[in-house]
This record gives sequence, structure tokens and C-alpha cells, in this order.
Amino acid sequence: MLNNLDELLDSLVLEMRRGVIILAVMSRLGDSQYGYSLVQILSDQGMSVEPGTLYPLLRRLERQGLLESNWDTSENRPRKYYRVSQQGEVIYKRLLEEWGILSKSIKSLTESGEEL
Amino acid sequence: MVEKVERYIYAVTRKLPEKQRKDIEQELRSSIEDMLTDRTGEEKPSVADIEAVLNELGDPSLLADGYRMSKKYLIGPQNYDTYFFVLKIVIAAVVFGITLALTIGFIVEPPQSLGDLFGSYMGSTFGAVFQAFAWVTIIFALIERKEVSLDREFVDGEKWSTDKLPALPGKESLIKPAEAIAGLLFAILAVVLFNYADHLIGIYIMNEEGITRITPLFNHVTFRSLLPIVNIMLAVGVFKELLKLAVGRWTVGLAFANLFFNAASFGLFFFFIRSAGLWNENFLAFWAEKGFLPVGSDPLILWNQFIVGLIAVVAFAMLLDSLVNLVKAYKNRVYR
Repeated sequence: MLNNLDELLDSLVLEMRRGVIILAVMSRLGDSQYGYSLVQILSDQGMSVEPGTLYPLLRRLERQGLLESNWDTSENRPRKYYRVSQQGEVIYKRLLEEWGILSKSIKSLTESGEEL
Repeated sequence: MVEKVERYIYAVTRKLPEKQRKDIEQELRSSIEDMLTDRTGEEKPSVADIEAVLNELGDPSLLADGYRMSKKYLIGPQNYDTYFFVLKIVIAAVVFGITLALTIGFIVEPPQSLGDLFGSYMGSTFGAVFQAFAWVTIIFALIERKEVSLDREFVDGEKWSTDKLPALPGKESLIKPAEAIAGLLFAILAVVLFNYADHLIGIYIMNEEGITRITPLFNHVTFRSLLPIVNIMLAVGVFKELLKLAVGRWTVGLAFANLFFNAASFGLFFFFIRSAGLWNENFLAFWAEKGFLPVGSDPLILWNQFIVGLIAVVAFAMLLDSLVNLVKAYKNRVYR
């Protein structure tokens, strides 16, 4: 039973984080980063994201036009660098506003003294 | 040991679209190398390091799903329950039909040994269940691909608006599952009967010694040669009932499909029943022998008159079914 609860919690947390990860990722891509460097930056800030989640996400955001990428082949290990595109910047700011509104209303819902 | 990394990359990318494969491959490779360097610095990574990194990336098929973005279904979540429901009914009907056919066969002509009976029972059942499974799955896979066009409420690219919401379907346009299931059971029983036991369709007469003799309705040789026609006709029937179950109400699209299937079934039925040499001569002679027919009448002519009547009844029933359901569909269509 306890195991089931843990699993349920894990899957709920995962679902909750899924939408927010985009904000975390875009916040760090004003400068170009490659996949693994971004994993480390995020994890240093307490936002650990599985590499297996992040790498496909970066490509998806690129396809949606929010990120742009280029291959740096000058070093002996070629790396794909991502950064926020112009369009991505606009979206990022709007998303951030939405996040502010969302977290404010959750805060007032859960800390009003009438809650669970 | 680099081989393991390459095998992992291959496992992720092999099913991805050709265009992105190379790029994903390179990116994944450099990412894995980054992760390894992070663990071991400039030293050569050990087997354990490589395994740890690959485990961190997780199941390659899940990672591939992430890259693929959209999931494609053979039978999607919205149809899965219906699929499973129909599959159970069809398989139950097939098993029931075969059991019935073999039981009758067993009573009429007892087999050499119980082993024979068991063997032919298991063989027929397995074969038929696999067939049923395959057909139901194929039909639902087709529905999955076409469903949008069967049951959609908006034209492509049309903008949604509240006043274009579909009218609530009138009660009469809903298809009762029981009705479709009954049709399905009937068609499946017919499939089993015609394919495994056409010689058992006929007149049963028990003589004084208690031995039952069957006078089959059909000429076995002609019937076997027409079997593909019969099977296509029955398959059309099964397909029609499955569509009705899957769509669940009379939409205009479904009603036209129904009309089309009815027309096709009737055409095949007509071809089948008018085929030369279909009827067993003994069957026709039987009626005359037993004195059921007026003296001096030709059994073949009388029989043919009966068949013409039967064709008319079937045509009328199919026409009625097509028209009634078209009316239902139009009366309850989305735009009033």
C-alpha cells in the first residue's frame, strides 16, 4: 500500500513538473548551452531533470521555434548548442507572467486558512 | 566498451524517422560522452561507469518515445474498450459456434475415436479464434485510421464555435449494442456453420433403428466452390455490425456505409442463391417422395418460385434497413 502511494505521488509530481520544466530550461538559455551542461546548471539550482527527459524536450522546443540550435564542431567533441530564439523570448515572458498568476492563486487557495 | 554506448544509441534511434536519426545520434553520443567525462574526468571510463550513465538515461524505448513526440496507436485509448468488448463477444461466439457444429457432427456421425474428436475440436477452435482475433483487430485498426471521417462533427480547418456543437443525438439514432451484438453473433454462427458444417444444414430424419440421416440442402461440391462468395458476404455483415458498435449512433456517414454494405451483401446473396447446381437433388426429391408437393408438380420449379420469393423478402428487408437508418441519421444530424 505504501509502495503504491509512493508511486502515485511520484507520478503526480512528475506530471506537475512537466509543465514547469520548460520555464526552467528557457530561463537558462539566454546564452547557448549544450544538453549536459544544462542538466548540470539546472541540478545546481535544485531543479534536477533527468537527461532522458531533457534531451528530447530541447528538440521539441526547437521544433516549436522556441529555441534555435547550432553544432559546434571546432572542438574534438562536436556539441549541439541551444539558445532561446526571438519568438521564444516573447513566449518565455508570457509564460513567466502566467506562472506568476498561477502560483499566486495557488498560494492564496492553500494558505487562506480555510483549506484542508 | 564503447560498443555498449553505440548499441544503446542504436536502440534509441533505430525506429526514429530517418531525417532526424543522424542528428539525434550525434547529439546523444556527445551527451553520453559529456556524462562520462563528468564521472571520470580525463580517465577512461570503466564498464560500471558506462552502465551507470546509460541507466541514468533509462530505457531506450522510452527515450525514443520522447524523441518521437506523438504516439501512434494501432487501436487508441478511445476505442480500446470497445475493441476488447467486441473481441470477447466474437471469440465467445466462435467457440460456441464450433462447439455446436462439432456436437451436431458428433451425434450424427460419431468419430473413430475420442482422440480424433478432441484433435479436430482443438484444431478448428484455435484456427478460428486466431482468425477472429486477426479480423477484429484489422477492422479496429482501420476504424482507428478512419474514425475522424466517420464520426466527425466539424469540417477540417473549420473554426469551432458553440453554436456548431452537435445536437444531442435523438434517442432513436443511438444504436443499441445488443442489436449489433445479436447481428454479430448471427453472422459468426453462419460463418462457422457454412465453413465447417454445410453438410449438416438439411433435413434430419430418424429411421426405425434410431439412426439419423441428413439430407443436405446444398450440393456440397457447388457449395464449396461458392464458399468465398458466402464468406465475403458474411465478412461484410460482420464488418457492418462492428462499425455500428464502434460508432454507436446513426451518423450520416454510417448510414451511407450501411446502405453500401447492404447493397454489396444483397448483390453477393443474389449471385450465390441463383448459382446453377447449388441445391442438392436429393433434397428436392425428398419433398416429392414424402408427398408434400401436389401430384405432378416439378419440385425444381416450385423450389425456384420459393427462392424468388425469398430474394424479394431479403431485398425488401435490406432496403428498409438502409432507408430507416438514413432517415434516423438525417433527422438527428449535427446541423439542423
